[in-house]
Amino acid sequence: MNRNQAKQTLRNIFNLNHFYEDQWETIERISNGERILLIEKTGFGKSLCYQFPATQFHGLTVVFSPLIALMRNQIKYLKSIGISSECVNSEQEPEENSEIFEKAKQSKIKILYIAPERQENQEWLEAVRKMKLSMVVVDEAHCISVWGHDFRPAFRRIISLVKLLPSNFPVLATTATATERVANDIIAQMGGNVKLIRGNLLRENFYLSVVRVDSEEGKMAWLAEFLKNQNGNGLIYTGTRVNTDLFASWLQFVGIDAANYNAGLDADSRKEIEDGLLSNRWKCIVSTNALGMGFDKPDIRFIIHTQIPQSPIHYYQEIGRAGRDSLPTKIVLLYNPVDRELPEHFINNSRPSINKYQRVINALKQEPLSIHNLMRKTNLTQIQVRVIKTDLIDQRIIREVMYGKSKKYEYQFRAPQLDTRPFEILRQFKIAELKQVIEYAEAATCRMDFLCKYLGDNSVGRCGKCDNDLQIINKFTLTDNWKNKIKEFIECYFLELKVESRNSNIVNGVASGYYGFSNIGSVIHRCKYENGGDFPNHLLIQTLRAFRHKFGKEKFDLVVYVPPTESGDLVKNFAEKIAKILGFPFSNGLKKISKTEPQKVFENYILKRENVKGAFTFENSAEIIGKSILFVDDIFDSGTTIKEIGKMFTYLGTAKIAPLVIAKTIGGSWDDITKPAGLTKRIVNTKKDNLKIDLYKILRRWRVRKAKELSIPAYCILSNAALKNIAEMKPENFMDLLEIHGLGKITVKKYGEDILRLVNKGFETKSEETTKKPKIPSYIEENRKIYPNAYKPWTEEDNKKLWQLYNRGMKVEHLSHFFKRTKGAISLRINKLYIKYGK
Amino acid sequence: MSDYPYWMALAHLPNWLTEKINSLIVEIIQNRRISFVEFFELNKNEWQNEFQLNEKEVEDLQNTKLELPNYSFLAESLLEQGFSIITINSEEYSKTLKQNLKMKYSPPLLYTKGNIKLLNESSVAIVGSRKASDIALEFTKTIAKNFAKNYQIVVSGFAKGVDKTALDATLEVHGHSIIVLPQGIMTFTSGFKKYYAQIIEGDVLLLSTYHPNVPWSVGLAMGRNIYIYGLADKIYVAETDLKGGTWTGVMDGLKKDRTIYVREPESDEKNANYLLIEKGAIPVDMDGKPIQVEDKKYFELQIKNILSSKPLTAKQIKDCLHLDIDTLKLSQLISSMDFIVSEKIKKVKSFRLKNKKKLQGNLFE
Repeated sequence: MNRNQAKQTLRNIFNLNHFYEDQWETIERISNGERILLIEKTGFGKSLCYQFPATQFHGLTVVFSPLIALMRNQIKYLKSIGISSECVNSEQEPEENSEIFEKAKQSKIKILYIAPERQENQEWLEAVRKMKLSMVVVDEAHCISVWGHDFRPAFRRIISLVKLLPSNFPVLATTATATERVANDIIAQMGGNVKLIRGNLLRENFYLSVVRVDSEEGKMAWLAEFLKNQNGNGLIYTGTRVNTDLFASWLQFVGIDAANYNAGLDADSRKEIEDGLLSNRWKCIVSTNALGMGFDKPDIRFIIHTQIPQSPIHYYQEIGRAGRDSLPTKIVLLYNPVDRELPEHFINNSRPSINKYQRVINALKQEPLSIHNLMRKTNLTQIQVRVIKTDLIDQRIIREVMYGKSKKYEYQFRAPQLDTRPFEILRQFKIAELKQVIEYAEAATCRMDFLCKYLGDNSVGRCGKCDNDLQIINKFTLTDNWKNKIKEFIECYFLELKVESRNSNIVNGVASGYYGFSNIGSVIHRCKYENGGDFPNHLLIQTLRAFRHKFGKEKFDLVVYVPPTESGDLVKNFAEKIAKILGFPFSNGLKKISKTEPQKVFENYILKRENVKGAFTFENSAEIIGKSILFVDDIFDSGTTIKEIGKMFTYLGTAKIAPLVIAKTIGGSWDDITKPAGLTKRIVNTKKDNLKIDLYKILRRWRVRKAKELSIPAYCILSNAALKNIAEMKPENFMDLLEIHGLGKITVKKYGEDILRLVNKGFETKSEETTKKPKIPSYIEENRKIYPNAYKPWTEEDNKKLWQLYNRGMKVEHLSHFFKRTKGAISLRINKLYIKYGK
Repeated sequence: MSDYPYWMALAHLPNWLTEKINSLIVEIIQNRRISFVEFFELNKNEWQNEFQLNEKEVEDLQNTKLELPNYSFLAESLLEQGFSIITINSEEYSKTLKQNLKMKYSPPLLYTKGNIKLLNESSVAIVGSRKASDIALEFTKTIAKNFAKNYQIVVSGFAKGVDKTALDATLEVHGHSIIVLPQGIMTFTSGFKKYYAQIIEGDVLLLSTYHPNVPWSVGLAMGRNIYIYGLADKIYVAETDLKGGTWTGVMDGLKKDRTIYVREPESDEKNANYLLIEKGAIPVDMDGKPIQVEDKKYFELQIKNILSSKPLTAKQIKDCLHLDIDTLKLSQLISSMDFIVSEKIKKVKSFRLKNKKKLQGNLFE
């Protein structure tokens, strides 16, 4: 078929008038059975380069695509123009996928989209053997390379496949973002003999800018101001899942239609948000980078990053989805120099410690294990196991083997030793890339030119549209008005506990805050483990406010609490107070019928679930049939205990179970490690090697203190050798502790908690121990400029005066002015007095 | 770029005899010195004229060519899961197998999992029926352990009875074994689990010559016997009936001049071991050692054999059997045998069989 004939066919099928030069060259070569790597910017029309030849081939074109959203969009489009196409993915029912395989075997489909992970699926491998194949397409081919911004292990198998395909079998790999290094890597991995076709990367309609902010509050305020004056809709990227919820809630708080999106949401919710974005239901979606790549909405008018991405290539990819309609589009990076800590943290902690790799290897030397059993045997989190198994497969130490329909991992005969050098090389490479992003943020030259050059396109020069070319300096200063508004928001920002499931009458509950944020975690810790007494009233007030936020004036028939493993009567007393204040009956009836270990001993949900399975009962079950129960606990971690108790209550006939907890942990996912917005920044810092803390000395000081406390000689607690081993190994959890020479089960049980706290918070501990006079935090000083009495203790006289004025109907704002204290402090005090004096 | 998909496509050409496939492979890579890629790019006429292929064969190859991408998917899956694909021209391919089965029967591809070095080590096969007697199993156990301790690879078919006993005894003393599977290698998942420790230690090699996904069948179980015998330098028979896989396999081996050892049966055993000895197998004792000439029964059998065609003198018998014995003593021994008649022919004492019915087979032919 010559170009003119092809143009005619293009008109007939795709209703398009012409091919771009690069499109035609690709199509011509593909038709001759060549292998092509096509690098073109988003919106160029890469898909046509395989969709057109696919319509001309006799057999099936298989498109490996990592993005379900993209698959859905493409299928919708192809079907609308009469091309038989289907996609197979994990979000469809297995029966639906099987039907599609059947259709493909009967040559009833021209284009089949499939996730690369499917190459590990036995049904697919069985089915594909019977399909008449004409072409293989690898979409988002940068995922092949570890030097790219989104390496995905599943692509490794696609590459192995490409190498095995007959040499004259057409293969097309496409991407919008590949540096020269990534492109060369892709070509090498495809086995060479690949023609590279590369277009220019300039996005002419992009108005790139960087806005300097001083704090997270600044970002929140800037967003609120920007979005109120901005036409169209767009995307806001955050660095973590937790922040998608926080920023979306904030924007809703200030009256902007925002939804949050991240990979932690279930498939239906994600699809609903995608559809909502397409139909302009929201002004903006606040998302992690889980949304965007492959999402096809032509009129995304703005993309704002609230957090610097890991590399310029990440950035170019993430902004790439905006403005496909070629109309002016704003691309903003909110930049605070301290923001580098988060990506730096991700980079430095992208791999588990080496002893965890060894734990996996040792388990697999014993028997072949599925991923779940591997988690059981090693007590590692799912993410850790996934990272480790990917590296071990890559180094040919283990293999993924099909046992019938299930996958198991096997240690290999003559497996090499684990080589950690590639990990370090990659880490250094990523740190260097991060520096490039900071250079972008601080650059004084054309921003588009900077990005394109980084991606190997030197043709831009000056875009004439970015803030630097237009000589605009963007610096945002936070006003008091915004500060107050944010404070107001934070005070009523509570966390939903998602625990609902089909087989349980449990409903989603609420937590008053994150464990790691502000001081909730340390207060709980002090009460539980350092004889700090009952949970203080401010936690009670905060939890009650969370209750009101979530359940309003709803009445419950009974308040119960989780029987303690370690905290004595703390939770019981807390729940009793809540029941008393809310006026609901209180019960001690929830009992533990089998021994359980503290859930924190277990790193993954499987072991946590097994630990509490069948462990609870309710004494007088007749009492709770058809009733609604408010169920109180101190910390919500994986939710397995709460879910188990919910199931038990459901079984006994309870109509509704609602959880209420003081604090929610951030969770096991590294993706969830975050900074609190609007609060003091405290990133969970595990860069222990870099901190240069003399952990050994800290441990010794702790031992002296402990020995005095217990009136026993120091060596009876732990030997010097054991302390040295701890300092050397830097254990992260109880399993790690048990592996250290010199520490037995009893020692770990007695002192494990203390040791882990010292190891993991070594930096903070040092400052605690060495700084005698703590410096007054800056935020206190700031507040005192406006409210001279802020943070000063309340006298009894103040209390009485406040209660009197409040009962007279004076508003909080006026009380704040009268007492020279913040509105938040006034509200808190009123709540306390409410408990003290009652109505 | 790997050519495994081409090998697989050729190896599993439907209804092609192994010899035909091997001849084509030899013609392509050895005689013409072209790659499989080049071969598959030739047109129909070139296949017909240059490779002397008929219409049907060309049609088969054309169909197979269309399946090459599909074989790529299969090959990827196999290699990714740690299976090895060993081609007949590779160094790893068992030399013993090639030597024993020649071009006619040597499988073009071996699919394996485990320590492929075992393929080129000194090896033995211990064979016998699925319902072998206790004494046969005892024999199997003893000699398997002996061989294992002497670093010989025990080739097993993974069937019940003798096969399984030989395998288990070998592994009990941490010996090495090749398990020849009666099915496609990817379907042997129960075995992956059962022999996991031995596989990752390098003590066991799983081997199949069949399409990787084909399930177990009687036909494949019978068909794989030839590969068990083929992979072994020596074959030991623990027990055989007059029919069945063992009998057929051993007879086939004898036809091909393979040295076959067979356990000497007790007088009351009802099996065909003795008949096998009569057919030419070498009897061995319970430790697997060949029974010496002095052993009466074996000696009598040799005498019967040698006198089955014509009468001979003691001197002639001594020379024929290469016996290291005094001729007079030999003469006395033969005279004492109750199935022998002595007579003087031209003044020389000759011996002949009382019963003139000719015995089947001749050990020394």
